[in-house]
Amino acid sequence: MSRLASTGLAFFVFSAMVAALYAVFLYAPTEGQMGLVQRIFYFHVSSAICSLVAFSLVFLASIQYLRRREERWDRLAVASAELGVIFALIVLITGPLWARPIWGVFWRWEPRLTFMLITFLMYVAYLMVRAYAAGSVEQTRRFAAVLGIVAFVNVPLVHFSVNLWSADQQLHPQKVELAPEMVVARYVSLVAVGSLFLFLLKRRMELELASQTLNRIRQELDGERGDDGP
Amino acid sequence: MEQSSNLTYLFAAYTAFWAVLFGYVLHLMSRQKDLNQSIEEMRKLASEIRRGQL
Amino acid sequence: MIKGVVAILWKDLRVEWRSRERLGPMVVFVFLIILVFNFSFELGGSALHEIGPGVLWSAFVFAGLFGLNHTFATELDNNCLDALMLAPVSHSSLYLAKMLGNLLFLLVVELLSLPFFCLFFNLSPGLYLVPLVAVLTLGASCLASVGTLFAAMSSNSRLREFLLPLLVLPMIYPALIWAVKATAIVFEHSRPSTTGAFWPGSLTEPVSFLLVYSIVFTTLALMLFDQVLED
Repeated sequence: MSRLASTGLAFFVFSAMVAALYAVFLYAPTEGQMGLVQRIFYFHVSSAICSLVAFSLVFLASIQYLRRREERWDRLAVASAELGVIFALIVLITGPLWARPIWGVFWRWEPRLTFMLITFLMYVAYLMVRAYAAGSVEQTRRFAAVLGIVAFVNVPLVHFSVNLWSADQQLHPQKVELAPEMVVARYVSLVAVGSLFLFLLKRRMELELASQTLNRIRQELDGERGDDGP
Repeated sequence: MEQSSNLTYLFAAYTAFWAVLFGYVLHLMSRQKDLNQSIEEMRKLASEIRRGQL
Repeated sequence: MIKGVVAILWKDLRVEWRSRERLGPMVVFVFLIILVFNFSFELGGSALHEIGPGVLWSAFVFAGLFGLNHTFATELDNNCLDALMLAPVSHSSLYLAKMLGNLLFLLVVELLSLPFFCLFFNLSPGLYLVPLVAVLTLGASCLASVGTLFAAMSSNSRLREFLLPLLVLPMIYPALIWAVKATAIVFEHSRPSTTGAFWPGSLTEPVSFLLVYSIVFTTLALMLFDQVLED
């Protein structure tokens, strides 16, 4: 059943992606002012939404882990954090590539860019805590959960501060007027990127489950051998 | 002219999108491979233990 | 609760008084970093209003990280942390004591290094120093609130001392932005012609942000510290 669902989801992701690529490159009209490069918008914004959703999932899963101490919440947290970082990285790469022809430079210390960069760095630190932990597995999970909560509380504060810090650099449009075809392309892209995100999230959680199980078996075996040995 | 140089950036952005995700999937696959290897080792260990007991 | 906090804080202060492992190096460090900026940017006294606040806060943040690393490292070296956790004080009291200790050390370092800073940037003392001390205190409490929580976590990592800056710096950026802004406002009002204004009105906004930031993260850390120190 789970295998069937997995294949079904993969098939859905694939068809949604084909539809999205069609909508982005062929269906949606070329934007008047920015030209072709505006077509970056569809996947850029969808990835940004996915990364912020991922960071909220880290937050919720961290709270649940600390309350219930169930491994599945930790699996959700680590998988979301990794994918959040991956999608934030995509946003940080596609953003400058869009900015170069339009703003004339790759990078501006513009509020939303700065916000994404700082948020990205916080979750890179989160992954580092997990990767370089020296204590018990259980302790690492607790530390990660604490960090997952603290970092997410900081997200609105970063947003607020960065807006003050470079208010005169605000270049992202506050409100976007889109042609109806563009709106369609935007939502189709969001569904495609979002389902890809969910698909990868699921796979990453399954991988984590396998490695958790393996570690537990290894510990049990070590314990048995320790008892038998001299 | 303006449009064609634009095309380069559009191409680069979508390439980057797929490259990052592809790299991530490769990373996941290598982790999966490590995991399978450990499972295989453990299976061998288990059969050795069983043979020792028999 | 208060008794436990005071007891641990007093212990830490006495340890520091005997060993002088933290304050001395931190002050020298701040001094050296200010010189690093001076040489890398070839600063003159006129640069004060442009980059002075940034130099001051960069120096404090780096020296602060240096001090924060000591928070739990010394306890771990001699397995004192286990003893501390056996002591009849709650984990939140332990956090509060360590956080106040860090705040105190930072504050002393800031106050001791301020004269050098004023000397190098040709600032003459005046009434503006009073709001400046308020800004320094709040900025230091932001750093201490987040830093103390993370210090407990980073002491148990393979990266050891190196993890702390990776954790603290991205977290502290919002507070840094407002602290630098507040300090810039204070320095703007340090010129003799404007000494009349004791508390510039534009200072209220950044100062309240720093207050909110430190309260939010101190509260959060108090709620979560049990989870960090469990076992």
